[in-house]
Amino acid sequence: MPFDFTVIARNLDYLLWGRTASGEIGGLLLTVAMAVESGIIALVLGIALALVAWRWSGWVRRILLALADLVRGVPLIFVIFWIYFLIPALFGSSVPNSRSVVIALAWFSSAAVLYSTLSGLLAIPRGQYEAGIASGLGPGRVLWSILLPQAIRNLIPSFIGLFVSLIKDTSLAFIVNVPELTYVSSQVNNRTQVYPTEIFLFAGVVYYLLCEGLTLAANSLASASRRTGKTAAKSR
Amino acid sequence: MIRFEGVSRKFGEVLAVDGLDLEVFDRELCVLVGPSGSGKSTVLRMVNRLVEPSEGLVFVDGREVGSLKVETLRLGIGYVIQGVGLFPHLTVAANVAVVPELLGWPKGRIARRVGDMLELVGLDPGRYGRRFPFELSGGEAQRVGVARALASDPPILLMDEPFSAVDPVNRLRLQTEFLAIQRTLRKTVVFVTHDVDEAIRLADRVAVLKSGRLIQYDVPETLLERPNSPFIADFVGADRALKRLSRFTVRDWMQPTAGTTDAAIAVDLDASLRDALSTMLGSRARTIRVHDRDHRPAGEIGLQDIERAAECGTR
Ligand SMILES: Nc1ncnc2c1ncn2[C@@H]1O[C@H](COP(=O)(O)OP(=O)(O)OP(=O)(O)O)[C@@H](O)[C@H]1O
Ligand SMILES: [Mg+2]
Repeated sequence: MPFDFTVIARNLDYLLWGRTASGEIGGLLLTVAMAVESGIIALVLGIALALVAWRWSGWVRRILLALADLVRGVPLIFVIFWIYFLIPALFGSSVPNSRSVVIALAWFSSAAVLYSTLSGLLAIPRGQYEAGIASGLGPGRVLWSILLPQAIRNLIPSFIGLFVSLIKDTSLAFIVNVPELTYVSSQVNNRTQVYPTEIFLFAGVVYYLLCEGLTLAANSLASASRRTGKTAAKSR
Repeated sequence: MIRFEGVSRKFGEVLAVDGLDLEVFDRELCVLVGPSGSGKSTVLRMVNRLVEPSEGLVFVDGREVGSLKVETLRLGIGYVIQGVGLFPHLTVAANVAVVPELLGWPKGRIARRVGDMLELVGLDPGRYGRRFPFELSGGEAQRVGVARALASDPPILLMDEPFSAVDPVNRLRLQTEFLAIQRTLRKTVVFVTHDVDEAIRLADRVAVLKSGRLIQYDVPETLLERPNSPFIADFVGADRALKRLSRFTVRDWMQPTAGTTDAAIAVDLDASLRDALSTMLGSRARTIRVHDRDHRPAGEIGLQDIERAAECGTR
């Protein structure tokens, strides 16, 4: 069976932007928007929780880590279902589906951010904390301006990794009819009926290029900053 | 002035410090020396309350440290440690500026102070200010550590083996420079080392610790001439005469007449007589030239000058 890739060209606008022109964001643009939005929420939430878990190392930390385990131990698709059904049940009115997916993704990823940020904070040599408080800084200030910047610098690769999985995980929004890249691809497929290989190959390649490009950019950024000394190779 | 009264500290079953009574006098450099695990660091860290005593009281300027707000106490105490002390994500200048910024100094004053401090420890602010700690040699990093500790001009300086990660040649240089700084600033310094030579060379007074107990607390000359126990005698070693020479500097005993010696061999103005003697022995010369830091000739020193010093009791 010969392949006919002109179907891609004919539907390219729809695959990339969905109905964005008429006010309903969709396609690849929605995929990226959802990943960015949930990524930012997860980053802020996860780091905030990690700071709390670092500062109160007793039962507060244990409870937070147990919760994070719980969140990570459930398949993402269930979290999406829960939130999809839970939010209308709790608040009566329904929220846009893409919203509930963003919340699910953020919720899921913030657990991962919490984990890696906390381990990044704990990996910093104890002398750093001591040098900070011995200078007269309070524990909160040491955490915020001495430990966290160092931890984040070491964690950037793992954050990029998380963001790449986020991009891929947005395709699960397909289940609840959010018109992101996977969903619009299947729409195009349903409409045209005869080109499933071409269409899903294209979608797959777009995901791949996006994720791979991001990884490459992150790597070269990391090695560039190492060269200019923005990343501390070793601590003194 | 720092005073320990009946201070003990237990870690579980380990008695790290055992009934310590010690007074560190104003503007003196007190060296705590002793074998590994003898409690030196623990004693030091009780001054700025990184460690709290299990028993007894620590006073700074007559005030019990436990009664002070801990941040206030620490702002008045510079702290230099070996190894991980600098913040790797901050430039050298930003590292030195940490405490002045905490104190809310205006920007211009901080910048001036950072420059002054780097110059004080022998680093060119233009060249080093913007570097990151991992771009420094071990000796340079330790200099920055000293600059940072001195930045807000605290009256007290605590130093825990600040030079021990540096190679012997650079350690000697750092000691010399630090002595020169201390002569002008006259801080109250508590300096921890396990190196007896370093202790004798730097100290106004030496406290020797063993298993958490203070064995002898005296000026170096007394420690060398009248050790109060076989432990101390053994600890300071058989080469006491040489150790005493390490307390005299070439500057104080040389002949400032511009050198008639044509020997190529020379020592630094700030070197110790011990170094000068070993240079003479090494080069089989009875007289050697003296030069200043910039290698300009400053005079000469001979074996007879060293003998003169050795016969003299104090420096
Ligand atoms: N935080 C701690 N927890 C448990 N034990 C400790 C702690 N700090 C020190 N100790 C113990 O107390 C004793 C004295 O330790 P300290 O660090 O004061 O010795 P030191 O004289 O500084 O030794 P070194 O020359 O090796 O640095 C040691 O036996 C050490 O194991
Ligand atoms: Mg120690």
